[in-house]
Amino acid sequence: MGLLGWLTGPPRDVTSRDEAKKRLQLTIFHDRMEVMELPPDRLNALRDELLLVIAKYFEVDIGRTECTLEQDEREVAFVANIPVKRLRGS
Amino acid sequence: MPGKTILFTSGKGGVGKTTSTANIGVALASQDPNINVCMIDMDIGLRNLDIQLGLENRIVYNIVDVVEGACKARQALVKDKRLPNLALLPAAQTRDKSAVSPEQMITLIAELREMFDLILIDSPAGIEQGFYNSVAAADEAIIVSTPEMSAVRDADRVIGLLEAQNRKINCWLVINRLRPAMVQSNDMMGVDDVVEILNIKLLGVIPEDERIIVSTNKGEPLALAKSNKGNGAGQAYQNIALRLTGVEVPLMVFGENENIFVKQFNKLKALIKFS
Ligand SMILES: Nc1ncnc2c1ncn2[C@@H]1O[C@H](COP(=O)(O)OP(=O)(O)OP(=O)(O)O)[C@@H](O)[C@H]1O
Ligand SMILES: [Mg+2]
Repeated sequence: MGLLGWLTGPPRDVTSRDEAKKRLQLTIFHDRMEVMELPPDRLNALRDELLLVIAKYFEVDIGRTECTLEQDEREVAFVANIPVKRLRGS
Repeated sequence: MPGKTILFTSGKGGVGKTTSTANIGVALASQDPNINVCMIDMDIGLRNLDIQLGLENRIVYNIVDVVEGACKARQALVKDKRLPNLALLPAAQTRDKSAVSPEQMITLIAELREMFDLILIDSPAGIEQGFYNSVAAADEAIIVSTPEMSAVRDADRVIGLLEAQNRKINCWLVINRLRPAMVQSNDMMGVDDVVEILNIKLLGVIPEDERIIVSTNKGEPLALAKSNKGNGAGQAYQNIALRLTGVEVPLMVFGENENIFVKQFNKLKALIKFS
């Protein structure tokens, strides 16, 4: 609970307005994915291929690699966070 | 300067496209007698814009007659009885959406652009051919949605389809049938929720207003009523028409805690520019 939450007391019950908004956001996100015709396993394939390429140039920390699709304004963005340990010698 | 075309669309049916087209059309025409406004009913087979405007008895020809060459566009246009600078191009009632093609719409609207400053297109519900006929020559799109889940979801789908067009079509949001008391008690999504989800520019908010039904009964769009003041739907439609011509009108405040809407409201540049 943040400071504001602490001042205003414990959170009230989730309202149907909150519920509608949350469900709608999730549904619309999935709708947009579907329209892009990008099923989740394709995303995993993309991540693996991407890592192969990057690993040619960097030593990467595979365990901490994170690839997600995120909502940015009205666009869906592919976001990859790939921690690198060091540059590989050429 | 050729006229500008504004599309009214929603995906979901019954959210207020026709009501919005009729009211914004009469508001624009009544605010400036020098603006010539044409409204096109694209709901072929299910026409309704004529009764909203009270012009149902004056129809001789319709849009299908025009594209099939049975009459000239000028002959099919129905002049409004109150406003000499307002006309309706009615839909055919006995045909279906496939009676017109997008190419025919582009040709027809090119002709209408020479006669009118503004062309408002009332699209049918759905995302099938009637939708694509309506989109074919649109410059701007007004997305009408109620603050309900299925309406907002369908609006998002339609915005996506408009964004996928080869031409750039600007999308504007009109939230219709807002019930301030329900928003206040957190039983309905508010303006800020819908704007956040759809992420397009807000053009205006129309409250739920039973006078809309009465005015439709009379064939007199509420925006024309003499008694328009305060925060009813008629005034809200007048405000939208003003914003479209570049006048800055703040969003209506429906309740005590809603000043946030006013802050959220993005200032508009004039959508319609007249030389
Ligand atoms: N702000 C409002 N307050 C009260 N009633 C409204 C409001 N807006 C629209 N309505 C009512 O909702 C109904 C549907 O409106 P309208 O015909 O404009 O929707 P539509 O989107 O054009 O429908 P369709 O998809 O069938 O073409 C009508 O009966 C109308 O009177
Ligand atoms: Mg309609």
